Amino acid sequence: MKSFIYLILITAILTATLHSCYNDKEELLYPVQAACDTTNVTYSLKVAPIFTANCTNCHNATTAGGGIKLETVGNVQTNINRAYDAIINGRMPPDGGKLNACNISIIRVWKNEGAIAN
Amino acid sequence: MHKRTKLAIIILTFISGSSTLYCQTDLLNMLDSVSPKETVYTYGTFKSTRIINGHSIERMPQGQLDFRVSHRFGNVNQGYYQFFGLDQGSTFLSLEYGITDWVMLGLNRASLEKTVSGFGKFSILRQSSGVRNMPVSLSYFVSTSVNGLKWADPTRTNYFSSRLNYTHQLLIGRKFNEQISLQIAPTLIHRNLVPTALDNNDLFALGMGGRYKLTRRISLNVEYYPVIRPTWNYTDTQFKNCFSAGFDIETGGHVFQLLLSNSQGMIEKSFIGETTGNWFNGDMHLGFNISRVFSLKN
Repeated sequence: MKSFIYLILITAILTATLHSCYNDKEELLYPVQAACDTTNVTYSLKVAPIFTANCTNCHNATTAGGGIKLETVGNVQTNINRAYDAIINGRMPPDGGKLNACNISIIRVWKNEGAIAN
Repeated sequence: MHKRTKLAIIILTFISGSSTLYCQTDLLNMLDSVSPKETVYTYGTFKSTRIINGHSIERMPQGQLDFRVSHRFGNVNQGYYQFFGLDQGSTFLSLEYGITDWVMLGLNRASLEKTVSGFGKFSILRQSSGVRNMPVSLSYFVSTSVNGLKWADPTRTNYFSSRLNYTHQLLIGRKFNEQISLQIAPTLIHRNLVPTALDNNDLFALGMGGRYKLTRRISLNVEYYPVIRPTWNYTDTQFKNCFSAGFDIETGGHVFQLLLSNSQGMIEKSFIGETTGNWFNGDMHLGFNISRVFSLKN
């Protein structure tokens, strides 16, 4: 009887994991979101608006959450590695959702191009 | 017959008789060692149910509850101002219970992406010698994790299925001697939602790990999870393979694991698929796992 219960348990777990499998791609599932332009990425045009919308509410000169300021290009240049790590791991922003793939790509491109104050 | 001859015959008979008896016992002993009467199972291939981040072939025995608390701190290379990463950290809490001696179920919560996951681990083969000779232990591990972050864009139609990720692993381990145990872990991770069309929903990895026992209570553990990219035009080159090294320290009912890893994630989907740190840049995280076992069986 016990073996039978375990057999049902294993079958239930396998069925649940196999039956709810999807192969979705975000850029195909949400085509509007897919219009992500990662060419000519500059701090002032593309990166700053992302930090202003998602980060500077806490990471500003007054509150400086976690000792990190992200208000000016100098602030962002200093903290870019730590900020990027927190963003792609979903630790930041803490109360909102993870930044969308397009915003993360823009920050990555700017960082990889040397995080220039442009 | 001469008295002396009689005595010699008696002594000879006694000696030959006793040696025959001795030979018989010796043969029986040899037979016993050649064909033992019972199966001897190998215990303690690893000290705990994890090598470092990944699962080991070990599971909780029936009626034993393992409460695990794990932390991974920030990057070590942040210097003294961030106290080498100790000013930040991610947390992992887990309850894992042995339903029988071969089935373990667990439920855990990781602060990274606010993930809740459930898993099952089934011991299929156990390393043994004697009547039943089995060179390796084999376990099957399956888990489902649910990303608990708020939707990046709540205005679009979001699906619950997009939050789900699955892991299937075969854990094949062998204790070579009292000092050395090794394990390989072919792994399949399925992500229901990936960012771009070039990303694969399935991710394959071949985990490998080992343990070298230094003293009765301390062992050195090393673990590496190289990801086998199914397509070489995979766009996302930001992710690295996870490499971790650490010490297991056994203290009574606790196993304390002190470690360094380039991953801050502690569930399979995170540390196998989304590790960003590069060891050569010093992007590693100090961390620890604490395991406390409670017996719920009377």
